[in-house]
Amino acid sequence: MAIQINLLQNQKDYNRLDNYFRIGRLSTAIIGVMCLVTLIVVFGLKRNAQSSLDEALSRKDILQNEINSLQDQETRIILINEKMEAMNAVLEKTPDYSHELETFLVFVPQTSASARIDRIAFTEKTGDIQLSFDGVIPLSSFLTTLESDTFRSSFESIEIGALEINNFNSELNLSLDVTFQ
Amino acid sequence: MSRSSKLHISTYAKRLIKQHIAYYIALIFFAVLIFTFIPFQIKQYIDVRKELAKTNDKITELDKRRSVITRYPVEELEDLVLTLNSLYPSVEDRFSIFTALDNLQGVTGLDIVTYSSPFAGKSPTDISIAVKSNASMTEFRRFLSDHIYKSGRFMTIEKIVFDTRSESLNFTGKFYSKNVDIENQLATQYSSDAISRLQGIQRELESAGLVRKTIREEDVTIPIDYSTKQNPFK
Repeated sequence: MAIQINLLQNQKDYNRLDNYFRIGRLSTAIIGVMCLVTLIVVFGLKRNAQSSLDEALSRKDILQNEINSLQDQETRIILINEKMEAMNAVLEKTPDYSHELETFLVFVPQTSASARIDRIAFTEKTGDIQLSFDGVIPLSSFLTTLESDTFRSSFESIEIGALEINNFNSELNLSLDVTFQ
Repeated sequence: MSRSSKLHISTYAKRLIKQHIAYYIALIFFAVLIFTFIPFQIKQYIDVRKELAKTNDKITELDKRRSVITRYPVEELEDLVLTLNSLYPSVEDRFSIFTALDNLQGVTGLDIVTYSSPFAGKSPTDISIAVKSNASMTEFRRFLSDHIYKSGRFMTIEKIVFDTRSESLNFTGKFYSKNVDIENQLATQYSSDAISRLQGIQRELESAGLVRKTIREEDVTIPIDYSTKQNPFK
């Protein structure tokens, strides 16, 4: 039996095989170069980041030591801030009685021939003020003041609690219930 | 025929494979690099970057803390804390209420007749004291404006009754204390308001003659030329 050798066909197969291997060689080289470049880039970035980190860590240590040396001051500051905040919270809930009284006294004479403050009582945001008048004229003059916008705007509410006539000395006693703003 | 031709190509291919063995090893090496070493290096880089970002954040925080602390009048802080602690103590010192009421008399001119015991209440943060006193209108007004700090203790009024005819002033004063938990707290914000208010209070107390000054150890001279006693009970 004769063996048929087709050289042309073999040549084509060899060339095709050679091409595959050439592509393989080239791909390996390209992959190798890419690996090398990637590694160089990654190592470079890592080195920079590491040196920045070392620098940052040493700066952090310096700052930490500085803060440790200021620890007492920091404790004092926290204490001051906390206590002042707590004091503010208490004062916000407490009415300023001095201011309320001074506002009231602007409108009411403390003592005069015809009108007088007898009793002042403050509880939380309310006040009970008792006044006495020698007659109807000073009382009506005070009631006019009471009606004024300036007086009314200084307090949240003002109510006349009671009006009594003292038979013993003919005085008019007026009781005012005031709610502070 | 096809079998011998296959064998022939296979031989050629074998030769080619032999020639390219180094490439296969290189390819395997690169594959190992790509799938293990490079990702590991990238992961390490990412970790370093994360650590760097965290450290930078910490530095910013520490820097802020340092600048906050140094903005305060560092030399004054000790005196201010002493003043604040006697005004608004961390632990209630009920005996100091007696002194506070005495101070209140001195500062406002009230004539305190009687007051309830500071040892009666059980609240750890505030103590209410009912006080009976005599006062003129001027003293009453001075009391209302000065009572908060000028007794030397932080005090507010719960209830107050002033009778102008009998000049009697009855009130319930509330004295406060507060224990501050310093642990886990950092000075991260500068509060000029707190410090200036406290300086104002200190000036107010100074004007009332009630400020506790710190005494430096080197200023204290201990007398050593005292005479000795043989019998301590004499």
